[in-house]
Amino acid sequence: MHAMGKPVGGSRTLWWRVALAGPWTLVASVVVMASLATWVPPGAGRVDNIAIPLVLFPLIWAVLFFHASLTRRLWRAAAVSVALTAACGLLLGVHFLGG
Amino acid sequence: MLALDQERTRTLVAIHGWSGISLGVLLYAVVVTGTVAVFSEEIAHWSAGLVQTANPLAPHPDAGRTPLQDIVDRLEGEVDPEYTDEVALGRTTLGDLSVFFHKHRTNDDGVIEEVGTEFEVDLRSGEVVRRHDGTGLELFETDEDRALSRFLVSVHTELHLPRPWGLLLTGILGLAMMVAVISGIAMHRHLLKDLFTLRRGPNRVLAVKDAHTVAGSWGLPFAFLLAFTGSFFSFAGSFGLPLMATVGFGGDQEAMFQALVGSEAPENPAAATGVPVDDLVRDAVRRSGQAPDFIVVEHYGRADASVNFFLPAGDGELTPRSLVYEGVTGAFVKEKPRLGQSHSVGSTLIDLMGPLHFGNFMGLFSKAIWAALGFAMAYVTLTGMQMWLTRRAERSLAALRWSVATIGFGLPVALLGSALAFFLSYGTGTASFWTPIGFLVAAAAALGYAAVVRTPGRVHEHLRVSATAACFLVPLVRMVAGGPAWDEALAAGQGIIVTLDALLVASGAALLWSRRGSRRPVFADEDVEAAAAGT
Repeated sequence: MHAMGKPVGGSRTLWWRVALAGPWTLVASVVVMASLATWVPPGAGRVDNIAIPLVLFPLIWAVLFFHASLTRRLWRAAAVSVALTAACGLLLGVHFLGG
Repeated sequence: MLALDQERTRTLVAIHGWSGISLGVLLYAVVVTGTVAVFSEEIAHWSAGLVQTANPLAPHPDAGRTPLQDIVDRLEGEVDPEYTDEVALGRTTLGDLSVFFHKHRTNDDGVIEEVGTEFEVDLRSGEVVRRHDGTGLELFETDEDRALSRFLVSVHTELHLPRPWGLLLTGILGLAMMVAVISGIAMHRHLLKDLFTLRRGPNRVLAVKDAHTVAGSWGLPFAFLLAFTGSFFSFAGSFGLPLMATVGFGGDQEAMFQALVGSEAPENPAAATGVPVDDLVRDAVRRSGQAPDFIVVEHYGRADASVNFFLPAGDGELTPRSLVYEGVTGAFVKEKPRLGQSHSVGSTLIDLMGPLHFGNFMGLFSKAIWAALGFAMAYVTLTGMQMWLTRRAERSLAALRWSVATIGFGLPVALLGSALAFFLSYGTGTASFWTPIGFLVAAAAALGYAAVVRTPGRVHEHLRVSATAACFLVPLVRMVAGGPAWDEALAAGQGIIVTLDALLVASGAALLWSRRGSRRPVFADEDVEAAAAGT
């Protein structure tokens, strides 16, 4: 992102931003998608808890990606993303360990 | 368009450029093959020379034709009894009836698969034409009649790489395309103006920039739709469904399979004779107004048998339909979505993904629109990379500049090479082997030639000439290799053979026409030098 102009927040944080918007956001989106299956009701067709998170996955990723890319407060974006992933991971942990 | 400050706009411009340039070459390959794959069914019929257009599952006025049920009953005695749990009836690529006796099993990779025996039956004579034993995937992958269509789809969905890596890669490409589209929308300051600005003049780079912006702006909603649904299919197919099975069903894929597509009838393994499937076909056609694409009889010959009809979308409908009948009584049970037991938000969303991605909800009309918009997206992807590179003259980008010049027409040359290999080998029963080889040989020839010539502008132009020649050559080779001639195809009512031949000839003519007046390429090597010098 450097060659076409200075990225938001300056070049010092560029690689942290790339790591947050790139690989971390992909991991976070997968965890959020999986956790949705634990609380989205299955609905009349008994597939909503599977189908809705699968369909939402690209959109979840896009929201997290653009938030990480465009925010001026990179560390706050990182904190939000990590907290969201941790909360969703906790839901999954309770689902598997708590039965 | 959006009220963004200068710093954020600069970042969006950078994201737009890098998302395109970092994966643009692969994205171009996926978009071009996707444009072709819109017509995958038609290409299968064209390449195999299908002249039998009647749907073998449709009720037939010919009273002398062997009923479907008689065929199923007769073939049941010829297969291993363990494969008679389920029977799928469909249409082969050559228009014959396919009868697939099978059961479900979990393979060594933990994936549920179908395994059994498939018969291809000529309905006019009632005789078995071919018999195959194996898994559903093996039968699909060894279908010689579909080798070309299958290869083109495989390049689009998985870049012909092994699972799940190909799907993961195309999923990431879909996300990159989404990023390019969303940043493209957000960074437009004058979207309305950009929709109509096509400047003419001596500055060729400016003209192509306008064409890129106009095609990209008009295609933004469509590009978002394709990127979103494409990444959904790739990720759901690679890791999404197994992951959701683990979370939602404790890793029990069988339970998920039952919830998604299985029968709700209580288990009853007692033997029972069912209603003839032909009677149910007539009822399904009466209810839906459509002949089925596919019929599945679950628990065939048992008291809990159920018969599922898979029908195309009706007039004015976007999503395909499924009807369920009790196998023994023939009672109509319900209409259900393709996934799930009854209609709900999730099942509707999933049902919408296919038509929105494949554009198959209004037959050839909607497919033609999808292909045209896909072509525009391929143009936007290629010219986007060309413009990005034209603005930079760094030596470190020489390899990328060479790659972009090579793939522009090198990819169509390779795809047409796979078609030539298919037609030359189809008669020998080795098309599944030679079709990808033809692609690789043509791609290697294009790359080798480009490596020798090296100058990107000349590479681009010379490969354009090769693509033009191949467009004219493929229909000729198809007919010389034994494919139906135009009069034979038209007499059989199979207009698609003539249409696809004509499309190739028209593409070749368009490529010739686009070179009129000037032999100088749009992005000539001197453009790069001029851009670098700031002129």
